[in-house]
Amino acid sequence: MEADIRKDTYRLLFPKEFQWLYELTWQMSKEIYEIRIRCAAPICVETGTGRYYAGTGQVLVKNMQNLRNVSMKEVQLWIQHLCRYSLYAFREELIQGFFTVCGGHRIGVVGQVVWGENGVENLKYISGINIRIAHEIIGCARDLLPKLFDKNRLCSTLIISPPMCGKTTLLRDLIRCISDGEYCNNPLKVGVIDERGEIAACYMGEAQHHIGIHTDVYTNCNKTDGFLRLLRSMSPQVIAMDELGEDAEIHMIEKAFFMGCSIIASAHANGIEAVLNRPLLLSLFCRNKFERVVVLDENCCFKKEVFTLQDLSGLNNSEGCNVS
Amino acid sequence: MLVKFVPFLLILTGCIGYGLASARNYEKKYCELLYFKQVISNLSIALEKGHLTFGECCLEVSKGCKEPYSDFLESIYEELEDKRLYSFSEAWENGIEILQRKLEWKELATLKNVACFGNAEFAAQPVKTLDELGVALDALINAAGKDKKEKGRLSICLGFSVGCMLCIIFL
Repeated sequence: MEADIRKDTYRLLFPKEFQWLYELTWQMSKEIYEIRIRCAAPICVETGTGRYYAGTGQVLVKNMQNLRNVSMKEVQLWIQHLCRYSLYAFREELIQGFFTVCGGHRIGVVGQVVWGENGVENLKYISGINIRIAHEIIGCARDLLPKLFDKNRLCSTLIISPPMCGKTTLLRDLIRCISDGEYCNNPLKVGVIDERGEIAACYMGEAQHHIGIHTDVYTNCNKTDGFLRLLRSMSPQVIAMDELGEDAEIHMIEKAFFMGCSIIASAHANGIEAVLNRPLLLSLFCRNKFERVVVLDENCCFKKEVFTLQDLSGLNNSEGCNVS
Repeated sequence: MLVKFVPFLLILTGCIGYGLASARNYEKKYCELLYFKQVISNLSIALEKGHLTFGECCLEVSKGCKEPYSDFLESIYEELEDKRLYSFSEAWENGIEILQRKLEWKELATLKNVACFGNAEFAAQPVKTLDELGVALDALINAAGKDKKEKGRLSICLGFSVGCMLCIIFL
């Protein structure tokens, strides 16, 4: 049943004129990361095993010969299909540069930006589409769970990795495990601030991924606003978010710590040392706010190293400051 | 006398009734087209909210419509939101065909070829495009209004005339 739903939602990514591409790629859809459609360039399918191009004659090829370029009209047709022929209804999302469709797949768009008094007002002449295929790996965070709990209390955790290493996939499963009480039969109320719609991938209010039965989600909401809303109305025991970075976001986290919430967050960084070189994040570690750090290896995506505060103490950052 | 009066009455009533029924058909067609125009107008209002897709607007408006217009709008919603096997213009044409079949009006076929659908302009300015559809619908409504007046009266008169002639012939 779930496989049928997955197949249906995958098929909906392709307009009628490109159903041949759906039929060619469906079998390998579990390995596909992205499908890139660019004006005056061939369609490019990025997979874990390599890159494929749409050749002439409705085939997929690995080499760069006899390729079929996509016309501007076809790009327009594709984006109209993805927007359900209602581009006007996606204006806010197009300004941000992406939107989520049924199945949790994220559609990134590029084109000509229209500037107005209030900044970017619209996007026109869309010339490129990036379809990021959503993947969910249920159970990938199970072995991590015991390391994040300290006597039945969830420690605030930061997940760090370079881009495209499974950070969000891991975070998502962690949220599900915590919400469903997979550790010690102790389900916790989780509030998720899904700023870019990648964690729960809500489509028309319905989460497209499994995120647990005790989870509340704010979608397309910036983290600072989301924090306040969650804390005031949903009484979360855990707050989860993706891609921590701005100073305002880090200041807001400190407030959440005072309110007794555990925080699960992720951040872009090439290893633990890079995190220690960021003063605001470093200050959170120094004041025992984040008690666990999970580092994802860029070579083997789910090779996870978990650092505790004891591990971090004695590590020097580039300025020679000790984390204690 | 009564033996002659009753058939006379029956024949005349039957013929006038037939004429009236024909006239009523023209009036019904006119009223239905006016109703359809109201449906399109409601669709424009729903689109102006800005955050609903065209299919979602069709579903919202269909809830307040009678059949077969609700079926027409729901078929467009299903095609654009769920199945997505066809392009927008094909979904629209299929919907008009459903309406045509249920109302048995061949004239509705002209609404299939409204050029605005299926091109990029619709995606950008749906309300303006629906206004153009409204213009095509106005032409049909005007034609139906004329038919209602002229052909409707003609039907009643014909019915009465035929009834009288038959009465004269048989009686």
